[in-house]
Amino acid sequence: MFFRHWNIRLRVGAAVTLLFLVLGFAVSSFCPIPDVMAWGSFPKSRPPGGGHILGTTALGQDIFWLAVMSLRNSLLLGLLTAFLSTALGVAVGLFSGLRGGAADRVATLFTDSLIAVPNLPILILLGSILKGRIPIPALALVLTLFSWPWPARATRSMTLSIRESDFISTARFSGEGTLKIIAKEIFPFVSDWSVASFTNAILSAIQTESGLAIIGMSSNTMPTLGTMIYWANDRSAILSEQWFWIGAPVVLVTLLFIALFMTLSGYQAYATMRRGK
Amino acid sequence: MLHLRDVSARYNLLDSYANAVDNVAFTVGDNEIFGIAGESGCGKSTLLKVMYDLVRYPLEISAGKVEIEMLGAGGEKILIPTGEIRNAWWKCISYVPQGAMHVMNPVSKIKYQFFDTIGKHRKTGNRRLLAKEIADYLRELELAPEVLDAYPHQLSGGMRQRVLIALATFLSPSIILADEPTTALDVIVQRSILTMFKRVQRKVKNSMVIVSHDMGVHYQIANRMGIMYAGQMVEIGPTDEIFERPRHPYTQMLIAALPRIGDNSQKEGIPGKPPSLREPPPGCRFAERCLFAKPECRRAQPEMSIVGENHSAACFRLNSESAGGAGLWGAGAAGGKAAAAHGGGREAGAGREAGNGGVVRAGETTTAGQPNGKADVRGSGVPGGNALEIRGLSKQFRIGGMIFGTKIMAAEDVNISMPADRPWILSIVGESGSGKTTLAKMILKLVEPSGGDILLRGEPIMELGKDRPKEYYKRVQPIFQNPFSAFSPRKIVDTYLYETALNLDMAASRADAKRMIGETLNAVGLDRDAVFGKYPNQFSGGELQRVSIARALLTKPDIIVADEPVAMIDASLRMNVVNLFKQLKTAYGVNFIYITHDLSTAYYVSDYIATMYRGNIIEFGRAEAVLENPLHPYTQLLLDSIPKVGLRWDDNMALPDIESREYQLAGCKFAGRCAFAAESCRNSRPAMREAQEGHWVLCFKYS
Amino acid sequence: MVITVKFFRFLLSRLAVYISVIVIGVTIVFFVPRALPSDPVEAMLARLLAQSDYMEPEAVAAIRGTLTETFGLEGSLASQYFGFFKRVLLTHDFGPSFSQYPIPVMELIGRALPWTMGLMMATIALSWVIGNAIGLLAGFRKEKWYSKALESLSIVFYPIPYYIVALFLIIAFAHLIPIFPLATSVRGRGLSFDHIKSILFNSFLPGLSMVVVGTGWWVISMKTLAGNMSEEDSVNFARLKGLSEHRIMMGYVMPASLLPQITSLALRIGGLFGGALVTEILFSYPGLGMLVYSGIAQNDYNLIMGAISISIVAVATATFIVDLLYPFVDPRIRYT
Repeated sequence: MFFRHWNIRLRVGAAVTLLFLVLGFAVSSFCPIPDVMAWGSFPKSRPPGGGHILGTTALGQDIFWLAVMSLRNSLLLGLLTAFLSTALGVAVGLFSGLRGGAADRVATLFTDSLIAVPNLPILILLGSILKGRIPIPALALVLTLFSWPWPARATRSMTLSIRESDFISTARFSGEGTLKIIAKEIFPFVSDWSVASFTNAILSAIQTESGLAIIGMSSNTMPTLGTMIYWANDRSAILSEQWFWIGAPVVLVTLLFIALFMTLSGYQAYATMRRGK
Repeated sequence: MLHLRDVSARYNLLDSYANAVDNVAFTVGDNEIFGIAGESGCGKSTLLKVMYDLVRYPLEISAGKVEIEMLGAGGEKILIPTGEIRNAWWKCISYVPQGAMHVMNPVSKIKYQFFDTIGKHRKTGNRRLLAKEIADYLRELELAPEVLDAYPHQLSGGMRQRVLIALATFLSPSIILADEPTTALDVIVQRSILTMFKRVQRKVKNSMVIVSHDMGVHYQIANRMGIMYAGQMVEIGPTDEIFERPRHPYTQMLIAALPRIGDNSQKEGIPGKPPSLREPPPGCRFAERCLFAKPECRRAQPEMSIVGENHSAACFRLNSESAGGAGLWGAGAAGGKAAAAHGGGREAGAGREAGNGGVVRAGETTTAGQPNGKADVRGSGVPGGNALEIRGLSKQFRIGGMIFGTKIMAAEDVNISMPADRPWILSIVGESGSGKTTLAKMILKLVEPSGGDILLRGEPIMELGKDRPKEYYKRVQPIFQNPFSAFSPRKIVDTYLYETALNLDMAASRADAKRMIGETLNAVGLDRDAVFGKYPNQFSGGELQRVSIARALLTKPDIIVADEPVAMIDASLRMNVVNLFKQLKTAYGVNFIYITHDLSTAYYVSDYIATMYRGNIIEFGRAEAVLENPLHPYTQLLLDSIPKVGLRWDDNMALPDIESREYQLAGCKFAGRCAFAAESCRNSRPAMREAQEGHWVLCFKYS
Repeated sequence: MVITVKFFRFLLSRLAVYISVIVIGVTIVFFVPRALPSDPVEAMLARLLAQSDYMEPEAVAAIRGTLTETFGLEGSLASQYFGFFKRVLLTHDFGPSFSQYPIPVMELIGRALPWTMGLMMATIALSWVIGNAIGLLAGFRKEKWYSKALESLSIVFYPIPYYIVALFLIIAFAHLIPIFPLATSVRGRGLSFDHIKSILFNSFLPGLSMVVVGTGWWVISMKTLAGNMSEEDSVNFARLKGLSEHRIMMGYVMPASLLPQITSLALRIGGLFGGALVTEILFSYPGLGMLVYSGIAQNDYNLIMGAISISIVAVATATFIVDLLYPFVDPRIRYT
């Protein structure tokens, strides 16, 4: 099988991530509740059982389906942001690394600066003005603004080192055009690494959104894992010891992040090994 | 004295072992320099580690031991065996590592690197006193004590190596081990460092062991030497004996394959490649490649047997015949080989002149073919007629930004004409920083010139590359130094071959391309089935370089630019590739521009040679003329500095410091280091002159 | 120290990034309110009025005036833009706070800033030191069992988000075992023992959560760096010198692998600052994060804009300072 050479970290990470994807995108489509966020749909603060697998919240929501839908939205946001920022970052990095000269210097200064600009305060400002009415695609765009510089930076340095290698010259002297050289000689190396970068971008997008959500600065009409924690925390789920309400999103977020990170670091180890082979 | 008692060592590869050192036994005597020669992967560096007792995972000693023998205070014999040798490091035995570039701690000053090595052996307790002592010692070795306050990156490569030698000899240990101490250094620096080794040894009268792949280095400094092959010592003897009367077939072939200046005979590399150290063959490890192998050679391993005074070798032919009291075969054959290499050189050379005297006549036809009458370096040939014409080419590099940067002339007023009617191999020789690689890159359009023209059959390459790029790639093709970096590790090599054939319209269809690639691979001695479908790392360096050559040949180019194409290839295989260039020149009518630092190979392969120094071509002419009768003081110095086999150095010759980074803007660039420099040399620039027929030189001496 | 060309070039490039970070950050802050469909001033004002029962018309007019000024809505776009920069960088005048009228915003920021700075500096320094120490050990002694255990532990711990750790600590040590306070209340003032003890006591949990979260990354990256460094020629030569493994680790592997970690620290300050803001809010810790949070809750836009602009400048400055440490550690930049 294709995962025969995968290390244990990559296997566990990928398996759990896959489980989350199934839960988020397949299971969620069977959700019987039209609006999981609606208050008072069910009796409040019920323990698990009686049609509610994980019980209900103090706001009268079904905890299981709320958690599943939150997971779906968080994953959607993460994937969208990761896709956009990896694509943009790789494009800018390739351009900057291949073009060189003044264009490269300007692009590098810009990416380096954007990395150093603290993004959370700016997101808080935006959240405070929008007051939680921001849809997921728009939020993904905003998060992309702050996450594309990382892949851009890495792609650029990779491109710079590959650009000087002899095999690029060999390809040129084999009559290959610039676009083909980028696609066939440089991109395979970049794309190898992009898998890791993509995973990392999912992780950091969900991380940032949930950080924002937990202080009530993200979308508070759309359930995400972060908003679920926010409401639980806001309604003192801890003090009233409603452990499933606060526990479900906390466990999901923690496991998801560990799984993604294991995939990421496992993949890096795997890629290193494959290069060494 | 250092005894190796049947030592075997291996690398633990988890699923198997690589038997890097197999049953090696010899003794390094007091007051001698012992050389260990062999190709990459033969186990010579591992052997040195074992001698130094640097055995840590994954390396392990599987049998035998090493012993240092010393005289104690009362004159009694002390033996320090493996396992305890490390307690005697630096005091009794020290080590000079390979590649001084990276071995020093980059963030600490040189003096601290001395302190942490020898501090604990000198219980002065006072660093100031110790520093003074070290400074005095450096002065003794003619090194400036100021280096102690410098960081490693502030010193040149040669300086770093000298400092390491000083470090290794400071405590006057009785044994000094050095692993490829001059690899990656330029020849002039190499010579001064090897001379330093010799002087130190002569003064302290200790034992030195020097590992090098370069037979010339051994010839110059070793008193005795051992030849290693595939983990085993195959021959040990006095250096002169080894070079003049080699007994083991491997040694014989290795020495016969060495190119020598002044020797025109045809050299052959050794066919095949060394066996894997993981599963070595049961018999003699060289049997596969040996011309004299008999069935018994493949069954059992030969023992070392004495073949002369202090001289022993491990070969069945020597065993059986010396047992019979004759030993004649060895002597006779070796003598014959040696004769072919030395004395016979002249006749063989003459034969070559007579046989395929094409080279000489090529020059004459060239002469006739050109209105100007001469192959020259002034670019005065007629543009349309020359395969390559370089006129007034220059390249400036700026180092360190717009504001504070300094300019470096990597090429200055370079002129070359290569006629189209007769193919040449033109070698461009020089040290690192001479601009030879920049010149190659400009011809390959990988670097844009700052001024001047490069014309291919009269067409400037910049325009040709812009208007008809395919035509340009058809006419000029590169071969790179490291074949493994010339192909993407992610692609099978056929893709490049097909791309070249199809993209550049050399083949009409894929089938056509396949046939053509097959033919070209045959021409470089490879079989299509053995090449197709393989990734670069599945080839040996020599094989992959052939694939690289085949790819370049596919376009039937006018010119192949080869930048140090054999530098990464082992000596026994190098000649096979170099011979290929000579064959292809005639068979395909292709000109080669052969960039190299190796003067002997350049002499062997090329028709013409140009010497470069700091961006200028300073001497140009027929290969024999330039290297047998060099005119420019720099070419003379270079020639004096290469570790030649057959002519020993004068150890007292003073060598100018060639490593200075200073770039003179007025006057001859070499004036600062030239023994003959006059006032005019420092103030004005010499011009290229034809000092002898067809032999040009950039020096006032000949104006 | 000799100022060499190389050092000067390094300085210039870092300075360029510093200036550019401030320009980009402040520009975004300037344009965000403008990019929104509605007039922020009237929207704010409406929200503000809806919130309070009654307000004097003069007060409303005054607030409209400062709001317009805060968002820099007077004059042409260019003059608004440069005016905004002038306020952020030079005058620091963000007008009065609405929620705590008429205290100037800058005074509130001035009170909160030391808390945030103190918390961040202490926790970043601690986690950097601890993380690098563990990572060095784990990377240099790869084969040892404890290296593998430490690595596995940090791979599991590192991705856990900071707020989860914060929530866990709150549940564990403020709720289940109430040792620490749920919200900050400081006793005493000045340099008294009571005061300092109280500050440390109140900072303990937020600090702990940031250290726990921050350390993992340094462990992981240092482990890789130290692991690679242990294969370097210089380290192998140190072994030939006969130095002890401890000397090699401290004298050779550590200095060389700490260098990239300094650059890395500079790159990560911005992200760490975001984490600190959220942590402060969860612990009701009286720093910039809490200030912004309360500003948002009370629609105090002068306060929000002021605190966010200042924090961008502060983070950029901190990044710049960390960057400048580099040449002091790496002689290759100091001397050529």
